[in-house]
Amino acid sequence: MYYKLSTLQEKELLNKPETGMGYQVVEATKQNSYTLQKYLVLNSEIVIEMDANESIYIKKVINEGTIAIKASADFVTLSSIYVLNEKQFRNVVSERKNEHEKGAIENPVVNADGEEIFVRLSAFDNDRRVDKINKCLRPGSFTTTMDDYLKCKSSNDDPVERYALPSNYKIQFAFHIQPRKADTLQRGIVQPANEKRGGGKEAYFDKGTAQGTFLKQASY
Amino acid sequence: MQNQALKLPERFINILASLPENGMGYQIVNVILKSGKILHQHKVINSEILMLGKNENISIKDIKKIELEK
Repeated sequence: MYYKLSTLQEKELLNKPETGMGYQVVEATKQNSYTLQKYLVLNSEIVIEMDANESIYIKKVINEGTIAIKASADFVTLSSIYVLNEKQFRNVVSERKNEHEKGAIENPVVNADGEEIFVRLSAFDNDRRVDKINKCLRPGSFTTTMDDYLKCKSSNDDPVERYALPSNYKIQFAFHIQPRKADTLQRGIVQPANEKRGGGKEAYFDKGTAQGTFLKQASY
Repeated sequence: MQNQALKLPERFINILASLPENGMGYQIVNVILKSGKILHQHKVINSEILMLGKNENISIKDIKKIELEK
């Protein structure tokens, strides 16, 4: 997503150093949010969320020009602005390139070991991704791992933030899934999205799981 | 930003439940309205709850089609 700044905030950014020629990478909070996020600010006037989709919007700015982009953008107000220097920004980029930090769908497909248990957290008793008749996960579904689920619970972390969920519906259920060896999945780290920080582990089952792999539904 | 939600009927739920998720419990979709307008990058929770922006006053009868954002 991209935004524009008020004239006042444009001046504020202009008075701060650049990260590189023509751009600033900042950590800031958006209005009505307490979560620090990274943003790319172009020419101190266009703000692009750095949520792994920023390249789409950078291309859009290049193709359409700043005037057209500003005309179609909503205003955003940033607070607690901290501008990253070039070295700090490089660290962010190199962190992202680490395979273990990517989202699940960016990582290779691997087989399950037949023993590991995965957990799907949900606000819904009738979670549509869990096929309770065939006792399996439907194709194209995400879960987290058991160890990350337990870590989330034991550290009293907020699952909505940890798994970057778009709504604030309270997580109430944990569906336990034990895929067979023939089942395939992709593992990764939940990327910041939906104005949430992410950071939890995620697993994506493109083909779902075999019948009989849904073990139980527990309360969260 | 998103402060309204619309419960979708089974005909949309059945289609969405057969399509992949974008994250645990949600999908990012385009909502094509009968008027021809398209609501881009909207979230659907559990294949059944469409999240709407505060000024998007639509009802089920306004929706022609829902498809995954590409």
